[in-house]
Formats: sequence, C-alpha cells, structure tokens
Amino acid sequence: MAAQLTDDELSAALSGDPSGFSAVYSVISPAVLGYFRARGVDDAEALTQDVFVDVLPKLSNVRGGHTGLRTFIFSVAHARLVDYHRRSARTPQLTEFDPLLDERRSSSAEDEVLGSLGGITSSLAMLNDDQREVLVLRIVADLSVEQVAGIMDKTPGAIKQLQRRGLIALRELVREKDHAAS
Amino acid sequence: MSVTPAGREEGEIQAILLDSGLEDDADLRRSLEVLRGLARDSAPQPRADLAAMLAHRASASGVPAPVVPTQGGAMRRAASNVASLEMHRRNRQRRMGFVVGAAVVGAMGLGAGAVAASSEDFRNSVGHTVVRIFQPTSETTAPTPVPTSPAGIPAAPAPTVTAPKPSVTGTAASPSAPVTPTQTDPAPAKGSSNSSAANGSSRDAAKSQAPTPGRPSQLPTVPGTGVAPKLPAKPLPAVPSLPGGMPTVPAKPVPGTP
Repeated sequence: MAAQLTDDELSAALSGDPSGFSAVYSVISPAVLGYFRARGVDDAEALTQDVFVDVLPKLSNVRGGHTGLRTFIFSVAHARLVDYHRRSARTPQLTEFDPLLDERRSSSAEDEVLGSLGGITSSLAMLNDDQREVLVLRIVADLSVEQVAGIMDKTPGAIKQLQRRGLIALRELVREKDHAAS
Repeated sequence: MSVTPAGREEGEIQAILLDSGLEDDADLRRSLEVLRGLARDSAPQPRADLAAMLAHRASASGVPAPVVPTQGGAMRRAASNVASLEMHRRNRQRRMGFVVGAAVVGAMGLGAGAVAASSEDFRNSVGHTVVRIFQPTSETTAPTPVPTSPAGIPAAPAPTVTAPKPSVTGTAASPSAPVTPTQTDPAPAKGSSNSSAANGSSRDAAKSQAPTPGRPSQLPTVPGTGVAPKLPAKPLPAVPSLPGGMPTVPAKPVPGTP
C-alpha cells in the first residue's frame, strides 16, 4: 500500500490549503489507478486524473479525516466508473484484431507485465458486477465494509453477503484455472 | 514506498477471508494479494490541467510546490505550457476569423463563376437583365401603345358615327380613303346587322346607304374573326345614334312607299 498521509498534510488538504493537494494525489492516486485497472478500464490513468481534477477543488468540504477523505475520493471514482461503463456501452464496437494476420511476433515487456495481471483481472471479469465492485473496493481501494456500503448505497450486511459470494465464486474460478494449467 | 507494514496487508486480506469463512484457502489468498498489487503502482504522471492545478494552488498559497517526486520538472513545464497556450489561442482565433471569411468569399466566387461558365442560358438571362436595367424608359414607353390599341377599339364607335357620313355623302370618295375603311369596318357591319334585326325600312335604307356592296362583303369577315366578340356589346349604344342620324335618310323611302 502507498504511504499514508501525515496528519499535517491531511489537515492542510481538508482545510482547503493547497499545500496538501500534491500529497493527497501522490498517496491516493495509485489506489485509484489500481481500482480502475482492476475494473478493466482501458485508459485508467486518464480516468484517475479526471477524478483528481474533480476532487481537489472540493476537499475543503470533506469531513471525517483519513477515512472520510478516502471514502469521498473513491465515491467520485465509483461514479466516474459508472459513467465510463455507460459511455462505453453507447460507443460503437471496435473491430477485433486478428493476430493471425499480424506479422509482428516479438513479445513486449508490457505484454509480460499485463499477462501477470491478466489472470486475476480476467477472473474478476467473470464475476457479478456488484460482487466485483465490492471485492475491488475492499481489497484494492482498502476500504472497510461500512465505507463500501456508503459508496454503493447498500447496507453493510448486503456488502458482506456480496463479498462472501464473490470470494466463493473467485475461488472456484481460481481452482478451475489451476486445473486447466495443470 | 510502503510505510504501512506488510503484515498489516496480510492481516487485512486475512480479515476479509475470515469474514467470509474462507481463511484457509491459500490459492484464493494468493489471488487476492495479486489483486492488491494493482494498488502498489506509482502515481500516474499528472497531465497538463491537473499539474497546473497542483502547481497553481501550491504557488497561490506561497508555499513551494510539494511536487510528486518523480514528475517535478514535467509539472513545471506543463504549467508554463498552459500559460503560453492561452496567448496562442487568442491569436489563432483572430487569425481564424480572417481565414474563414476569405475562404467563404473565395468559395462563393468560384461557385458563381462555375455556374456562369457552365450554362449558356444564365449568360443570356444576365444579358437580358442588364439590358432591362439600362433601358428602363424605352421599355416602358413601348408597351403603352399596345394597351391603347385595345382601348382604341371601344373608342371605335366615335369614328363609326363619323364613318357613315363619308359613306353616305361620298360614295365616289370611297376609294379615296384607304385608311378610314379600317375604322369604318365595324360601322357598316353593325349598321347592317342591327338594321336587319330592327326593321325592314332601315334595311332598305342600308341598301341605299351601301352603294358599294363589294366592300362590306369583305369587311365583315375581318371584324367577324378578330373583333366581333368585343364590338357588338359596346357599339350597340352607338346604333341609336345611327337612327338618330338616319332620319335624314328616311326621306328617300318615303317617296318609295307611296
């Protein structure tokens, strides 16, 4: 996990003092970026920066310390993600790239890095949308059950149920993959 | 980079697994650790507007900008680029106005030229309109005689009154007037037809009035084709003027009847 905000930086940011903004960005933006990547956003960095452009001018209204700041930023990120999915549902389908017709065969470092992450993200993509959102917010964004319940507008009991079902489904997927690999 | 101890992350994942009763599944725990690794990436390099926001707000407070460690230079460069782009944008807008205006005028000129060059009718019509514009007086005076000639046809009854006089008085003078017969043409035709419809005594008078029957035989054909529909309506009131003038003639039939 990234470095925690110091109390001085946090109080500066929450009081609207701009000196804390860079600290907020450097500490929390990696988690936001990971959240978008885990949800399969194609341009996760751009969406992360959209979130912070939206969030930074409004930090003076945030209450609740570290927890409140993190909840606020990820609620904005969640809303951005919903907008992204709606927008991508309206955009025309891209034509599939046929690798058999491509002569370039050299493997790239990016492919190897993405391949190492592709396992868990592809497994996550097979989950229910709510289950996937709960797991990503709990694990990647490092939020508590109550914070996730506030962001997704559900009760903590429902979040716990979604988390449990998501973990069971993910375990089945991981086992299937292991069997297929062996 | 990680200030929080690694054991805390392990503990969090373990707590999540404990919540769901899946704490003894090692494969699932490994997957969740990979998933958490997504959040260990470094902060993305801020793009121009975000960097400007961070730098501007930091400089506004008077505190030197606490920059994200890896992209300090890029942020400052981006901020300066943003300020200079404003100036360029203003100049470009001003220039774009002239460029668009010149392009529109040029395109309209090209289009009009192409139309004029392609169609010959367009050239002829332009020539006609130019001629009409530069000769307004001659065109307006020329049409006026044309309306007066139809108006002159109703005015024909006036010559009809005068026409019988030469016809009665000058029987031998009929060849002397080649122009007047056109005006007198309706008069004898009407005079004969009306008189035949009115009474027989006037028919005798008409016979006596028409010493040259060859001419009336030619004349009724011309008015009958062209002017006949119009003339009988209006010259009819002129006919009473003929009997009014005629009573001088019945002096002849009076000696005939006894």
